[in-house]
Amino acid sequence: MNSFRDTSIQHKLTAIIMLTSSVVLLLSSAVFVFNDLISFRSSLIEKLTTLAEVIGITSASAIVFSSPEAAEETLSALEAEPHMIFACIYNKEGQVFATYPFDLAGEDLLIIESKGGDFRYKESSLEPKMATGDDYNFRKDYLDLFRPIIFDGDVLGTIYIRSGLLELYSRLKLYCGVVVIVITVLILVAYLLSSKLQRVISGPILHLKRTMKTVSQEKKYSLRAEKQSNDELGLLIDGFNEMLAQIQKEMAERKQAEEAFRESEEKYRTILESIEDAYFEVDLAGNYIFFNDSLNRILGYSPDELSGANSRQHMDKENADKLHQASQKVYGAGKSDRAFACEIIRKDGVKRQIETSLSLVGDAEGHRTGFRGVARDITEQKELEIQLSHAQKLKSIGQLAAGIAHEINTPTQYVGDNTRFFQDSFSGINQVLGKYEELLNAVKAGEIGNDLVSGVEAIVEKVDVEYLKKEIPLAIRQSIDGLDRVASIVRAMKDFSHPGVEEKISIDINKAIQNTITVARNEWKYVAEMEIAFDSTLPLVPCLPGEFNQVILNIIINASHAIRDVVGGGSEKKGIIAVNTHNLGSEVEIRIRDTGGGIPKKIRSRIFDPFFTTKAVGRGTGQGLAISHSIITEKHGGIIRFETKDGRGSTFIIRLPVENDPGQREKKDEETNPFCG
Amino acid sequence: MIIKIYRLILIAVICGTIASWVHAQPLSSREHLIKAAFLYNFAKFVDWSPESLPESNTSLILCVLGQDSFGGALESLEGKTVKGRELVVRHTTRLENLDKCHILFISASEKKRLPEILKSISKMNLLTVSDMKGFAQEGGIINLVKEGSRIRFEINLDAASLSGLIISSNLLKLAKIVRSQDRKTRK
Repeated sequence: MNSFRDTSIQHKLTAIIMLTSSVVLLLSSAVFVFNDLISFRSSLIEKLTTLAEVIGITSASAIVFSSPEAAEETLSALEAEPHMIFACIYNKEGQVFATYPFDLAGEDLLIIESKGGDFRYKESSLEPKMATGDDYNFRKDYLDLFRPIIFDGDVLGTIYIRSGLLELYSRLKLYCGVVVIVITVLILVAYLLSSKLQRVISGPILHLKRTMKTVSQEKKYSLRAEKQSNDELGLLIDGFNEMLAQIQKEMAERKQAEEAFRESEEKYRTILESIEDAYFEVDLAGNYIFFNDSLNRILGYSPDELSGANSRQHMDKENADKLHQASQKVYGAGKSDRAFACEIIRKDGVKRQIETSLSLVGDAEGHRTGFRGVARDITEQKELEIQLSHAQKLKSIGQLAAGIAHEINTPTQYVGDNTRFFQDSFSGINQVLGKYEELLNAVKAGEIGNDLVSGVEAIVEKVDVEYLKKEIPLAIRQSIDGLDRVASIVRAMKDFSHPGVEEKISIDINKAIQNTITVARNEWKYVAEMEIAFDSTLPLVPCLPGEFNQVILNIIINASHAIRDVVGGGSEKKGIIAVNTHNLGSEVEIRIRDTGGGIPKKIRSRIFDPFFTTKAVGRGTGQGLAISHSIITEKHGGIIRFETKDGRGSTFIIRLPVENDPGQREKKDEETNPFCG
Repeated sequence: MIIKIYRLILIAVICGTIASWVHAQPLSSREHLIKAAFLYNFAKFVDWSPESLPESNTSLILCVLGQDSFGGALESLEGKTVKGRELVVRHTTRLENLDKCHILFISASEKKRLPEILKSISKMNLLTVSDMKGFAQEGGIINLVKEGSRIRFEINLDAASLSGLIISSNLLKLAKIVRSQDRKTRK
């Protein structure tokens, strides 16, 4: 059955048709033969019955008049019947009356019956049921038939005929032969027909199969099966074609999508591989799962060394804790963290500054499985920032230099003038002193001449000693003042720049601001009045003085510029720069207010950005406030912000923590400014 | 009703008589019985004309002319049916009473006046039967003859056709066919 199931549909169809037609043929032949045999049988019975009837009628008189000879004569007519085996007439009493053939003795008949072993049969042969109807019995080779002989309503006896069934069998044989021949021929015809006709069904299916095979082997989805009919097979082929069209369309779409995906993938891969920044993915324990070349480059390890390695291996404990804290925060908050800086140790042992952004990686169910991050080596940037800061400092000092020179020049000039005055005065005084010496010598000699006294009087008159006596102390005091001023400026400059101080020292903020104001005097004095209100209770604040001063200087210079933009350079009308300090307990606050034009709304958010400037090229680097921000927030852990009103001026507010406790400061950082560190 | 009771009694009496005869005189009574049966059976093979035996007539009348030599065997036939008709047996000695008969058994006692009898009934549709020697040749239709232990019969076809009777070939084939001695003269 399985092998049949696996044979081709052609053979199957042929086989099914053949089987069906053969079975139908066989059945119909069997029915036909059977029917014919039945009717033959019944016609045989009928014939024998008629025969028996005739014999009965014709032998009735013989029985009635007890003439067995006559009966036997009648029976002898049976000779004409070719299959007659024997016949027998019993009389009313059940005794054998006549037989055919003649020599068949009654005893023989009995023996034959007893041989048959059928008691009922024997009984009926001995005592035929005369009153009941016909009785017949088919045996293997013969048919026994009994018929009562009824004459004029009286049962005279029974006739018993045994006829051979040779005719039946030969007929059966003939039928079988005919059936075999007919079936053979018909099956042959059925085979020829079915093998031709099955193509109607199998043709389209095989065509479909071939098309399907071609499609699947050659991936030619543009191929279509030919429809040959509008029946279910046609529909099947339509469906197949439709499916192909669908597949073709989808393949095209998929190809397009794949192309797009490949391009996109390529693009992102290229981006990922070409960016300077490192991209990495770690599991929750911090082990690297995926990373780009830049991470290798930054860390100095090969991909093999990095894969599976823990991200905290490449840093000291302090930084590892920092990273741990940052990732804990991202994990807890469930959202990405902005860049935080930490220090890693490269394979070659060199420490590098890294800035990293972390975000969570989740699986489809939303479980947090790890982190992804972008890291950037900011060592150079940091160095550049330091350099920039230095440059800024130098620039501001340079900028200040002219003003400071001017400041120094004035006292220097009049100190010089005074000194030259002293020089001139001294030569006159020297002449007077020479005359007084001559006079003294004359007095000693006692030869005081009138001309001598008049000479002295003349020179005193000439030199104008009275004037000198009045002016020189004035000049001296003025010179001392001038020198003091120069000295103070020089000291302020020295204090301002604080060369060589790299660590925080506790300083008096008021004094530091005063120094800066002094140093910058030339920047503001033409445009603004300086209103200073220092809080005398201000504690000492740990500070990098040079950098702090630079911040104050930047703000004052910006304030001056802002005011100048409003009032115009060198005009008689001046603005106000108000500098206040306040003791807030744990912090000190410095407020520097100007009466400038304020900061335009659209740039307010950008003023602390590096390289952002509103000033003309060459006048500003765009680094001032960015560096100020960096100095206050990063180096001092303070806050710098501003308040501004258009046309009314701006106020910059700086707050510095009084305590210099790193732990407290870090904690504070996390609370207020998570990305500062 | 009375007739039926009478008949029943008669049959019982006859049966009893026959039974006693069969025991008492087995040989003669057997011959009588066979002859009586023959008489009865002849009726089955003979067709009468519709005039003498119409459909409506339910009885077939067997007349015995002369002395009843059957020794009561004939009475056993009484009430039997032939061709759907009841068989009635009548005894008579007079020829005038024969016009209703269908079968006429002429007893040997009438041998002397046989020609007279035959002549008087020659035109009647009447089956004449006898057991006299030469009866058929005399012009009787069926004559019962004894051959050894068996009873056989002779049939005079001419006499039969004269009487307008049709005798079945089945009967004829059992019979010995004889001709009337005075056939020519009769014609």
